[in-house]
Amino acid sequence: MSEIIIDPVTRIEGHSRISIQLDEQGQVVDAHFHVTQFRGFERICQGRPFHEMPSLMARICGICPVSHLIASAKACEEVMAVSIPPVAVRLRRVMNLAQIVQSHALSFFHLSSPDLLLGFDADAAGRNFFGVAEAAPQLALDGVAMRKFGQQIIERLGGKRVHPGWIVPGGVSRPLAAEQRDEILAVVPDALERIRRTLAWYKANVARWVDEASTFANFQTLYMGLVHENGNIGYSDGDMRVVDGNGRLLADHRDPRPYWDYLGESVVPWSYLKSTYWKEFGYPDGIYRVGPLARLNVVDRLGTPEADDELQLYRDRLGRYPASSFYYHHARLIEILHCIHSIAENLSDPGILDDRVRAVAEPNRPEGVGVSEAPRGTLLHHYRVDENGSVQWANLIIATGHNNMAMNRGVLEVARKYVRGTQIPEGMLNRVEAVIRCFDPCLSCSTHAIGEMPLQVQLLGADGQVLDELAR
Amino acid sequence: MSLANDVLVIGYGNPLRGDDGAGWRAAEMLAEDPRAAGARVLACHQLTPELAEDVSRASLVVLVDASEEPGTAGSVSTRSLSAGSKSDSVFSHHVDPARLLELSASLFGHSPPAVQVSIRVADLDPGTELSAPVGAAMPALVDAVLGAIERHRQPSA
Repeated sequence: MSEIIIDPVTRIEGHSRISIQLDEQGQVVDAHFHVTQFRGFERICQGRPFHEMPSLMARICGICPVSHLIASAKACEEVMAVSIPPVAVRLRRVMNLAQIVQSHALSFFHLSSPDLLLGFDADAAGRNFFGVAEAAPQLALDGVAMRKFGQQIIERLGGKRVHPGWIVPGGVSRPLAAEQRDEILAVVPDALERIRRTLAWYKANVARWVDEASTFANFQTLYMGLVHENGNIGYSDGDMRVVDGNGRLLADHRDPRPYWDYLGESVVPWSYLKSTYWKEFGYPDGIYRVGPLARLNVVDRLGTPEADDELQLYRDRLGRYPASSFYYHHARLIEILHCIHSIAENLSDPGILDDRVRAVAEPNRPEGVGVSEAPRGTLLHHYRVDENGSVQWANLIIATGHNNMAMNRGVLEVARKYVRGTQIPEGMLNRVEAVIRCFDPCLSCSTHAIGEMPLQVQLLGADGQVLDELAR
Repeated sequence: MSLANDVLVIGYGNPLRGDDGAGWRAAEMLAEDPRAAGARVLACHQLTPELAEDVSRASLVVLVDASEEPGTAGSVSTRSLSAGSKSDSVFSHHVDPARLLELSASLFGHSPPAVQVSIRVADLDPGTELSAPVGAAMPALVDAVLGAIERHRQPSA
């Protein structure tokens, strides 16, 4: 038995490594995506007042703190037994949509476009955002601008672009000013122009990536996401829908909060990242995916006309339930288009400047679950408190955990295609990383760590001897 | 017009990691300091590509950060920066100062003069407090930034 180790994987959020198990004939028999760091937020929060949870939990991630703020605040509101004011619901939506724009922009432009533009086998030294800036300045400019668009909305609403404290249990801490609304609406046309240009670029080049699309975690699973009652996509609110690759509904209009009824959680000794599975099908058959690809598969429509036209084109080309995780990239671009339109729609609501933005209450229930769609997929926060509102126990289920089994299987598929014998082909290395990158995993969120490092790959023999090694 | 107009000051670091937050703290102090009136002052955790446009619009950029280079804790140093000194680091979602200037030039057509003002750290353990030597040196860090702005305003002085 031999083993290839990729340690750590680059251009994802956090630390990880990949090991590929070979048999005596050099055939791939298994592959593991290891998440090697631990943060323990579930323990850190024990003993803290429940109302501190949103600001504490937002520290899990510098990319998607808004998602944690929303899921955490919703869990607190179940503890408080309150419904938040309608304008607060709408304002939270705007901030979440802005966060999805900036996070998707980071994933597509900064992290993945180097592979897409320059080629998966291009020299790794130049296959980065600076390479994109040199080869396709407009694409890089659009990436910078799209990310800034989302960040500036978060900053305008929350006071700062990272870890805004504006979303609080009961609503938001202050109403929207007309000036803030108008500043955001003024930059919407530019953002739309940029995402339209990027979608056109992607669709014009998609034929170049046929091979990757056919091998990047290209298998049917279940798909999960939040959907409004009318079938439109839900992000910070909505009920759960789960479908399989044939469109069979396994759950619809389901309250997502009692997740223990429908999700199982499993742990493995080689990773700090737990896997969740659809309980009805058991482990590991209950494999499912969340995030942009899954959301586009579960919804009837997005809910804004231009994005729905793009969704229809996407479905016309790929089918109603695309299976390849490569299409996460395309799905992200369509979601960005929808989110920009939806931001404008929400801000144009006549009640958006209402000043009743927060409900106040003491703890009235011993337990609460909050659910929201983060950029990478469905996010659940679950807290139990004592009679004084002190947190006694917490559990978090993060998008990357939902996708963990699919990521592992995706790595195995790519490894089986490319690995032969005891040598590490560079093409395999690039594509194993790239398939993980499709999911845009946030290991900071899931385990919880942050950072990025050079790449090291080792091929180990059965006796532990290094047979081959690559390093960047 | 303010003398500091078109000057961009970026203080960066992690304010939850002790002295690593010195750049952030300096930015907060400068934002309240009338001597820096007219300068645009930003505080951020790290340098990101999105700052390239802001950089391109400035006549001077002053980057303020914490440094682990050898030296006396709390000592302040100033050095000029230039674009083009490419690093081999694998890019994720943050950039080093030279890369930021390079991106400013390549995407927005202008890379202004830039100065990095750094303070030597003593303690990077988790916490919101600065160590005693770094805390005591914060006025000197702020003065060094103001000095860089002043030299830009009066290059012959």
